[in-house]
Amino acid sequence: MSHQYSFNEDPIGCGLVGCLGGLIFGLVGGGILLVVAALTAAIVTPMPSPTPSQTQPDLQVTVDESFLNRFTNQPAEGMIRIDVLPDNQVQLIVNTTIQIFGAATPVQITGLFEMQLIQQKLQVQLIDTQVLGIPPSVELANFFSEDLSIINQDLNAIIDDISGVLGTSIVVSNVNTTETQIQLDIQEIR
Amino acid sequence: MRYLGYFGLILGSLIGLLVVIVIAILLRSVPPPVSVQPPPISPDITIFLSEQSLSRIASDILERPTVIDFDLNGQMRVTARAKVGWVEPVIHVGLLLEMQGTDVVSEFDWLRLGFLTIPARWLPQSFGESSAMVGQIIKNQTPPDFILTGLTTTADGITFQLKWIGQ
Repeated sequence: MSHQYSFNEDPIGCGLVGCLGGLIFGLVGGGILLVVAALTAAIVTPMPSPTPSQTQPDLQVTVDESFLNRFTNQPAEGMIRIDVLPDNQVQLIVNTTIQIFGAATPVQITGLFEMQLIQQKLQVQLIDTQVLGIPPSVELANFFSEDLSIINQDLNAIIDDISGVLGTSIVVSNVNTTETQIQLDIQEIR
Repeated sequence: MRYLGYFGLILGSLIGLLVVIVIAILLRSVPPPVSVQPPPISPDITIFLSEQSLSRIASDILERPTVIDFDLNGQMRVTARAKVGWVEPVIHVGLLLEMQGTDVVSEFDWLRLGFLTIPARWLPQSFGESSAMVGQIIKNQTPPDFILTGLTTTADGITFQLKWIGQ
């Protein structure tokens, strides 16, 4: 003889089944509701715009003095040393030998350069040349003149390279030196 | 006695909804991970790139408006509209940048859709694979004869520290 189950006979079981059904409904329905609400919020949200920094430039490059000295091609004879100074100055010290009346004479030529921003372009200018070890009659004041134009050309080429990598036009907005570092601030032209 | 069944249904639904809400709240309050940075080596060249510049570069590469935000400890967030079915919601992707030797590794951390933040472990692995591209792009942009020795992020942008290994 079969017995038909009736919820009326087991009210607790009826409540538990209802609770389980409700739990599944709540979890699934709540999950779907949550995703739909989040998706709706994401659709109506406007795209944020990048906030420009008030304290930092678009690009800042800091070069260390020790790197410049290692990176510089040293001549076969003698030595070149770069000394970064505050106030945007750089000293280039060249120890070499020159022939004076057929005799090899050791000399030290020191060039003091200043980095300036002229029309938002970085320009290196020679301030002073000092020569040690030879009589004043030997003219070496223009020793760095040729190098200067090469340095300026190289600097502009580096700025052009950076512009190419960034994919936009740039200008040097500030130059600053410390005892050991050269720092360039660069801004994109928008 | 069906009333008890209805009561159970309502109670179960409420508990279910409550569980979903608690999970959503817990997901939002997950503390950001902290990337482990190697001890600093005195760099030869230090390059800082602002969020604004990187956002413009990313927009050019992805051919859609993209915003990149950085925070401390290698945290990076990429925001863009992505096509999901027939809609284009704003999606935020959280990445974690960290140095592993001289390589930059970018790990997919989370995805935010509206107010819902979904951790990386809940999403398919394919999401993480595309995130690794960021580290690869940084590696590819490192000039020849230089190695990356450090990487720091701030609210303003990202700073790379490079060491020259050329002759």
